[in-house]
Amino acid sequence: MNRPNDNTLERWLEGELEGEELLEVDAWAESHAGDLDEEFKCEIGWSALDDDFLASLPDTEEPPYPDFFNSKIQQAISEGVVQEDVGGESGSSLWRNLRLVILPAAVAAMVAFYAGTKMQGVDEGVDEGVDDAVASVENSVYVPHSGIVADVSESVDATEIVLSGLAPISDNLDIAAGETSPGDSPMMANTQAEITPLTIF
Amino acid sequence: MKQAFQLLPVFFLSVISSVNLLSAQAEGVKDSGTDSVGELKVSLIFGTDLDGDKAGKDLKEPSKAQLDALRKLKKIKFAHYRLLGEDQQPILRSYENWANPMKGSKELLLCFQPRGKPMGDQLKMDLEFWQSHKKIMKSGDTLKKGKLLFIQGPAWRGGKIIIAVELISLTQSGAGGAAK
Repeated sequence: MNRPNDNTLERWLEGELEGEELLEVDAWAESHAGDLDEEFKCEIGWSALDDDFLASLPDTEEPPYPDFFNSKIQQAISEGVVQEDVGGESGSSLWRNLRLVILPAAVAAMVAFYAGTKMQGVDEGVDEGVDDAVASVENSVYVPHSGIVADVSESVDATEIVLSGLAPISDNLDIAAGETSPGDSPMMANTQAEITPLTIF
Repeated sequence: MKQAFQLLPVFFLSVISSVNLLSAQAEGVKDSGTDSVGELKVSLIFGTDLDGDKAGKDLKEPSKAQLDALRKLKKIKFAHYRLLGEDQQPILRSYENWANPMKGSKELLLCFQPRGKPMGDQLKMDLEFWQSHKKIMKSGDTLKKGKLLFIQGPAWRGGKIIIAVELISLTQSGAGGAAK
């Protein structure tokens, strides 16, 4: 078969051929594939495209990237400035306020920890050689009721605690004879509660 | 299924044996918290510059050692002393201990509990003085053998009630009986 004319080839490319005519062009195209690519393909290509498709394409269009990137940069700059302002003001003032509390507390905690380790060392080191001065430091008196004062004094032989402000015991109450003022004894309450044997079954 | 029913008696026997074993072990375990780490003597003394017999006619004076110690005190000073009562108790390692110097009366009590192991001839203790069922004072004293602690308490019949606390003995191991 000789080379089909351009009109036939154009219709073949667009799939408009049928029957015997299609078979003939297919056979020719198969035996002349190189010719088809080199001689006809490019020439036919653009003209074979759909006119509607070509018409839908714009003639020229600037790539969107500059505007896109510029807008993103502007947005990032604006957001960054806002965040920096917000974070800077609240963070700095908050830190400034916390710093006034945290730093002294941290220093106090360190001092207390150091003092605690030293005091623990004194306790662990208590031995026969401990003098009365250390013992007096160890003594601490707590009076839960207001109006009662404890006066503590130390000597080599004895420790004295003088409690003042206590309610006197009624002279009518003969404690030497075993009398007790009305009320529940703390001794009974505590001992019963604490010394409870462990029973299983 | 039938085999499972046959094994039931064996299972119950095993359970009962285990329970018996656990009970025996529980009875055999001794609470180390009840070990004595020493002994404490608490005396109740009436001190007055007036008539000592106001506390009671049959009351005696404190021991010579106590009187000598009382005479050396700087702040607690009275002309006459009478012994109202005394109580000597073991110091249990992990329990609150109560001294009741006047056996019949619970008007004045001393609660004590060790804080740690004995160190040499010393023992750190929590002491609580109770009067009329109220806690009046709490102290964390380090008691030492031979060094008495005197607490001047409430007024009574023209004098003052004095509580004398004396560490009698300590065990170095903190277990077993008190070594005097």
